[in-house]
Amino acid sequence: MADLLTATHAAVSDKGAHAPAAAPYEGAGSPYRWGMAVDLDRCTGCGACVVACHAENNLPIAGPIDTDEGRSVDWMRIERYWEGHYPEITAHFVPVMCQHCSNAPCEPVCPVFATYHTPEGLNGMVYNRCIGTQYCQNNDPYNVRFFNWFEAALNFPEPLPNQLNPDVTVRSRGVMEKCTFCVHRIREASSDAKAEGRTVEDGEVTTACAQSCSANVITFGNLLDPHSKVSKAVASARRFRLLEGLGTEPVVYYLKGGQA
Amino acid sequence: MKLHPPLVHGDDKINRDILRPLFETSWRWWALFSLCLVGFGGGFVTWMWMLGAGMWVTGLHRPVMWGVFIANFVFWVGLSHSGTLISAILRLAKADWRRPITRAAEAMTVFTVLMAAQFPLIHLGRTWFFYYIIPYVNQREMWGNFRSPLAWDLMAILTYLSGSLIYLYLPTVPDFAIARDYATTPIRKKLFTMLALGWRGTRKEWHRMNLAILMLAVLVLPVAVSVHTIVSWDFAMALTPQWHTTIFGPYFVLGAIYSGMALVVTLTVLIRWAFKWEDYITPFHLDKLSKIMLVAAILWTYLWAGDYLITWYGRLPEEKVILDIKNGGPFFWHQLTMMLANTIVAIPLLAFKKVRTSPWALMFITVFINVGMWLERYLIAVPSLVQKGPSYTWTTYSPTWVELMMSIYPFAGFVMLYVLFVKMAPFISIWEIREDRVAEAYKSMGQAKLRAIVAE
Amino acid sequence: MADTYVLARYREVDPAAAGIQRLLGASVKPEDIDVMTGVPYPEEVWGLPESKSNIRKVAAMFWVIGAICGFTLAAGTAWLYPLPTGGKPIVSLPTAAVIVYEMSMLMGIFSVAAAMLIESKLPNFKKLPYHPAVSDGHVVLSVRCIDESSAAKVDEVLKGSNADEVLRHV
Repeated sequence: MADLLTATHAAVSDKGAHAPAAAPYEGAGSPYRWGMAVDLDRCTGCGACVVACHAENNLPIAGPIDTDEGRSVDWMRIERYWEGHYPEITAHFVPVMCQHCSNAPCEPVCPVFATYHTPEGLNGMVYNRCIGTQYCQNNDPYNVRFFNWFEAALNFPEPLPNQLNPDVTVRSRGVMEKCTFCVHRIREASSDAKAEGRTVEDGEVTTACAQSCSANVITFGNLLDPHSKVSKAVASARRFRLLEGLGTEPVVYYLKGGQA
Repeated sequence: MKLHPPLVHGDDKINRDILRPLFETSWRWWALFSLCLVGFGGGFVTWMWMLGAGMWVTGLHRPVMWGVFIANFVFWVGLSHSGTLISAILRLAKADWRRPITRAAEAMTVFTVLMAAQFPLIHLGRTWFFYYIIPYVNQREMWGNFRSPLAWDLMAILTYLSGSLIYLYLPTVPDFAIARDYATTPIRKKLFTMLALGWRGTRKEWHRMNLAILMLAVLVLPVAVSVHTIVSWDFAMALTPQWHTTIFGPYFVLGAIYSGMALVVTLTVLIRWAFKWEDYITPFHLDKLSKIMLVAAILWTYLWAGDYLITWYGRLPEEKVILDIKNGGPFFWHQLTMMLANTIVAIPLLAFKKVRTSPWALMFITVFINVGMWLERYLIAVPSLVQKGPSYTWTTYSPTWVELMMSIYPFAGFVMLYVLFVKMAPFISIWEIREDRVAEAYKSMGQAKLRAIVAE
Repeated sequence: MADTYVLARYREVDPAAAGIQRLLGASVKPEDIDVMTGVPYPEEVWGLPESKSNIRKVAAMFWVIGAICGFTLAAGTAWLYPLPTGGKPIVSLPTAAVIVYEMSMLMGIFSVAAAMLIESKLPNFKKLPYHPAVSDGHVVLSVRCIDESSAAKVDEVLKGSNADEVLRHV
């Protein structure tokens, strides 16, 4: 299993002391380049981030049968890999969400432009444009894209619609969806900041998963701001990215260096 | 017989033989048509039900988002290729033995593409918005993403379908004229008059027809190659392991030619039996067709073996795991059946002339080949997705009854359209066979008897 | 001004071709002579001026138009309404090339079919000179005559040329 871990999460990284050059998306001109750092040495696999993501983003609730059939929707999932044999077993937890790749392979294959790259470096998903060809999921090396199999009414039986987040669309049957870096929160903070004539400060906006993590595993922020927490986290020598050899250039950096 | 008695005594036996199905229908035709209608209707109803219920009724789930529907799509596009091969390439190569078979093959092309074109719609999550992929002016200033292989699919299949339809219809016009002249009942007379477009066979009309057919052959052939290449690029453009390989273009085209030829042989054997056309489609023709099929089999095996060897030798981890499930896991029987059908049984048997000229041996071999080719499409699409990405997300795939019904649907639809076509148009190209007979008239020159027209 | 048409039916090609030569010898204009057959024969058989056709030129022209349309569609719309995807350039030429190719072939195919039909003036359901024996493989000559007297002359010429049947088109 361990060699599978290294095989699937190839630790080919540019281990340097400086933060990687998080260049703004070509020609974008935006002051923001949202990124994330996930510290695997801290993750306990508690799953609070998964629950928070579900609650924040109106994710469909799948029961045991649907999950067994592979139809659950988990924008954020905790991958668990076992290493070793009893009694020397260790579990490795890897929280995986959409990596918002700069060279996202899912984007050019959508025939209707339902997914594209925003100037701020997010991989945007346009639900009302999606016709459900599912090509984006096939070309997604991280398997972080999800398809809505069921009608919204089936996903949220009464009285669950009362707990839906009004800031986030409830997706209809037949569209693809994925982690958006809580883009509704980013938009709200950006427009507030713009109204005040400034840019969003570090810590002013955070994703639901980062907010709910009890071990401060996830750090979210603007990679273009050299003083932001995420830029400092990403400057670490422990950093690597998932499936780096594919050249997808994710903006989610994982930190791992401690004992296995 | 509702055929007009011979107008003058001439070369009318061929007319009467080949026009017979247009004017007479047996109960067997009605039985077959009804059966197909049931299958087609059942499949269509299933599709409509799936549109209302949702895609969860299939066996698809992340990360296997493309399963039986896409395998069917590629399979039916592949079957369409041999119509073009026979009518376009053999026409350009001046192989005269193609003459009794061209129309049946061209009709095959059109109807298989029609069946294939439905699958991109069937597998869509929101089929009712399919028109988003069509480039049209709208107030949102949204156009299609032409970087996507699916947008190329749209253009390619549109071009191929219209090209094949034109290539089927134009050379049939002179035969519709013959049917028009032989029709006695008012409905048939009106129908064939309209379809014949007022064709008289003047030398200028023939000159232009020949030129048009030649140019269409030259144009449709590259389109046919590009269509299946673009369908292969649906897979090859993705980073998915075992899909991202340059061999897919030629591999798919060869596979298409192979499976298409197999279907042509199957249909040819069935038709000559059903309409008693043993005079027109002889064992000689079957032999020639089978030889092409043998060559296609050898080439397909070569490309498949190359692809396999490269994957096996390189041992890239993400590709090796997929090879393992094909060699020993849940896809073992699929791969074994495919190899038996396409290579181990087909190639040695087709090497013998006795087999190549025996209609019923060919029926068995070609049906088996197409079973193998369907499995080949399935093996391309599904294993790569079953173990794609992080091993935590690996899964299995088992199709449901919905996918089975949607696999029966195109078969029923194709046979239904084909038997309808048999009633509507002369199935063997009468004027082309006559043209060959005229060319074969011998002239004596000194002590020799030479063929009158060698090539034109 | 109603033209009269004289039709002559032959079972074989050689007498028909000889008949044409006799007509030309009797000062009938080549444009007034037409041959109808059930199969295409090489043009040289009849000894009439070569048929010309513009299909090739039209097809080439529309092939180019199709290529331009394809480029406008693939590269033009991407440039006018840019949406960045996957690190690919906004105007990506390799992918545009695929669309250029398909559109040019599509236009080429349509133009060949349309040019052929238009040049031959099909569909044409007027009662033009025709004999159904063409469908049985016979060769039918049709000669256009301005009036009855020249029609009578043509009758004479054709009857002397071993035609199976000489009649007027009604």
